[in-house]
Amino acid sequence: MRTEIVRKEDTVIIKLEGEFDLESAQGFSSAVSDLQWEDFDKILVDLGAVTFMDSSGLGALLSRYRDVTAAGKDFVITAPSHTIREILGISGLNRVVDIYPDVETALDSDGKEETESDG
Amino acid sequence: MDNSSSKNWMQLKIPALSSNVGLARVSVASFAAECGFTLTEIDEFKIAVSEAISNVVLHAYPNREIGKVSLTARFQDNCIIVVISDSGSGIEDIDKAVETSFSTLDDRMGMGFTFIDSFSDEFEITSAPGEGTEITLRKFLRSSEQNDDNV
Repeated sequence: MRTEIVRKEDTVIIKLEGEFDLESAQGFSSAVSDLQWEDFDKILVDLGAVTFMDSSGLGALLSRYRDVTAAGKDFVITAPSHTIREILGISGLNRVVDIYPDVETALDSDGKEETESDG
Repeated sequence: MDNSSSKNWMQLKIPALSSNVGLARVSVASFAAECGFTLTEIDEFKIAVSEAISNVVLHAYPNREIGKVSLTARFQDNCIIVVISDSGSGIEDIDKAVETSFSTLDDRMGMGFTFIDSFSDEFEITSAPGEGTEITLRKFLRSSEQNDDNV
């Protein structure tokens, strides 16, 4: 999985591309852990180019969500595919993490957004 | 699609490495596509396969050299049947292992069997401590017209 990190004002956008599984989860976790927490208010994980995710990817997202929010920062997800929305729903992660349809909407928003998996 | 898919099968025997999880699920996805499953059905079944293989990588061989995992797939009676087996440590308590949020590893969510249950139509586990584990996944072809132009 390819990881690209872009800083935009107070937000760090982590754009993931490829398959988010047991093999790639550690790389994602390391990339987030290496960020300097004091430099930003929000982490945005863009899943728009993620073609596959299983519980290993999901677990990596949840762990980083806990780290980021424990540091008083926001952690949001954008553009999950239909199948990824399904696993976010089954796991209940969609009830705790804000999910946006795209990066632009997430950047424009400062509050809760739609999180349902259908639609 | 001709009726050759009803006699088709495949087999993989690979080291239980995280780098091979993708190989296993993509192989099954290609096989399922030949059987007439839709892209959505294949996407979902890939998750079940990925979870089963990841379980072997994470749990089967904790204290020794890298073990092997065997995967077979066959298409029979409008159903893809995938059997994943190892000769590792086995599962002490299967009922406990399949519980949502249960994991023997601290950094895991314990969602693997929940996703296997969600994204396959049927699954069964046989395991003996110290001897290994075998998990069978089944997914049925929903609409026969997708591949039954073969009569």
